[in-house]
Amino acid sequence: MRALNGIRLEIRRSEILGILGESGCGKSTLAHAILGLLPAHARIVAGEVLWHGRDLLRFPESELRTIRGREISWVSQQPALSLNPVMCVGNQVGEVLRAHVPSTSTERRERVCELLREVGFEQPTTIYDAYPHQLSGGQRQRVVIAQSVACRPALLIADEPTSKLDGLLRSEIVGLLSKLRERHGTAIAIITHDPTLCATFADRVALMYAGRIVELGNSAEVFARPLHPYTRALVALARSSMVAGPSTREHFPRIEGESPDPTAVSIGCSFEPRCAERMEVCALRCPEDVAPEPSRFVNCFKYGE
Amino acid sequence: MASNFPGSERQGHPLLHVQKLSKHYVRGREWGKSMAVTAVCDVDFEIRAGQTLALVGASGAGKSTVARCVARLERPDSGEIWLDGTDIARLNSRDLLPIRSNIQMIFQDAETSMNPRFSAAEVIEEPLQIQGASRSERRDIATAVMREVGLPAEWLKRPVLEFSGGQQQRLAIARALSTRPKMLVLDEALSSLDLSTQAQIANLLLDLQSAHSMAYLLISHDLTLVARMADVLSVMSDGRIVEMGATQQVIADPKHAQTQRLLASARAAESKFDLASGASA
Repeated sequence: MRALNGIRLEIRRSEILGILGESGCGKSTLAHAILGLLPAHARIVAGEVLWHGRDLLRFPESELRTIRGREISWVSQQPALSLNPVMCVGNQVGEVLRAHVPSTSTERRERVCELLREVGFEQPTTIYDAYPHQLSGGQRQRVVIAQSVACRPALLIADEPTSKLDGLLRSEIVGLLSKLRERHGTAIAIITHDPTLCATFADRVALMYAGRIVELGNSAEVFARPLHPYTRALVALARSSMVAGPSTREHFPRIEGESPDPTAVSIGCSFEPRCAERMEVCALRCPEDVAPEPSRFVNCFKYGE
Repeated sequence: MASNFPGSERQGHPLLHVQKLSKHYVRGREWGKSMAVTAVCDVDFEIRAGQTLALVGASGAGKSTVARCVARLERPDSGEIWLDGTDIARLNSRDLLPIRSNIQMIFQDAETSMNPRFSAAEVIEEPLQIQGASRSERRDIATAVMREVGLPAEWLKRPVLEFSGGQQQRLAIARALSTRPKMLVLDEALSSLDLSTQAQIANLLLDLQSAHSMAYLLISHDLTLVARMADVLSVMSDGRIVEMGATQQVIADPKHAQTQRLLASARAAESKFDLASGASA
């Protein structure tokens, strides 16, 4: 099966890019491909990942290791699983430093406390010696963020960093990431299925559907005037799930049909079976990317060929 | 006294009536003394047939403990849980068996709540088997509930692992429906799903509720979902219910600081989204 298809994407210095799509659309595969963390049975059949002009896909693993964690880092969806349960969290943050920056253990300890304070812990020395099970979900996520920014990376890839958190914690983590970007100019690629998160947090947004980017543009413009039929349906759905407005027992508007089966091969546009605006050509071949506006592209026949 | 509860102007007596429910957990020992943590303290509420009560609150407020006590996966320390005329709070597991078909729970992670080596049919038929249904009865019910949740009956033979996330959650609902329960406990049952799948499942739950007039206890941190699904909204903080009322009323005029905080954080995200997408309205 093909998880990704003709992805064209750039992440600019210190921007926040939202990668928005449903589960199974390939957004995590994309992140793993960038970081060189694809599972052994995955093959990249074509394409390149340019980092400062050099193709990361050609880097030997040893060289990748010097980039991962130092220049490009990663915040996972499940902080509980990515932390070692039998090691105090301070040493886990320190591990990242030890791997990339020559330093003494006292220097490291000081630096780790600084980092813990930066991610919002008021008593970093107490947190340093805590084990993951003693922390709440939000605190663990902050420890993972401290790990990932320890070496001041130029790019942070965050895979659903807030989807397991409740509303209050979600705004806290989003606020923290924004602050880190402002202070250090870290570019952030945030992978999510939540349109509201992209609209509030991201400068640009890429919408993924069935392994392709179907629309990409400035997030204010995309959410104000969604062009691709999928984007439009998703925005309508997000607008309908607002707290104020609906009365009790009012149904949600729905996107017709099921999410695409990633193992199925279609010759036409993969959104065609669910599309409200489908045309004859849509089932026959894949649309090309067109740019109806200077800062936006859409993968749809509606906007020309 | 039951008339003090919001929503009780409706006809009939409540299907579920929870009174003074409390639960402590023992959390390790320090200097030989065990440390008790109060998870739920003196919680009262009631739900009528066909009605939904939502429990919202920050993580750790005690929502899931209430859910687990009501479904009797936990034994409460004190309090009463009247389900359809029986107090189930102190029943032992043998006496609970006939009760369990009346109250079913749906979890956040469908995948981890099913035996991965089972087929869809085995998943759905297991509760029926425990209740002692015959083989042909089980087959008929499985086919019927599959159709009800919008899955093709031919998929009954498929292993659960071949179902997508949304389909697995449908399957979990089908399993819950198989014993024809009067009450469903939904513990963050929609929160790990995508927006479009979430909308589909929420619509399905609304339809099933009006078809079978089931009562729902909806645990969620998503106020948008609650606004559509729940008649009564109760807000928990530190193990207690701090505010309860008709959903639309609580949303329009939140009284407790915790309710105001929860609503403010949901609204803050939305208002920015509204600004960004305002032109598409």
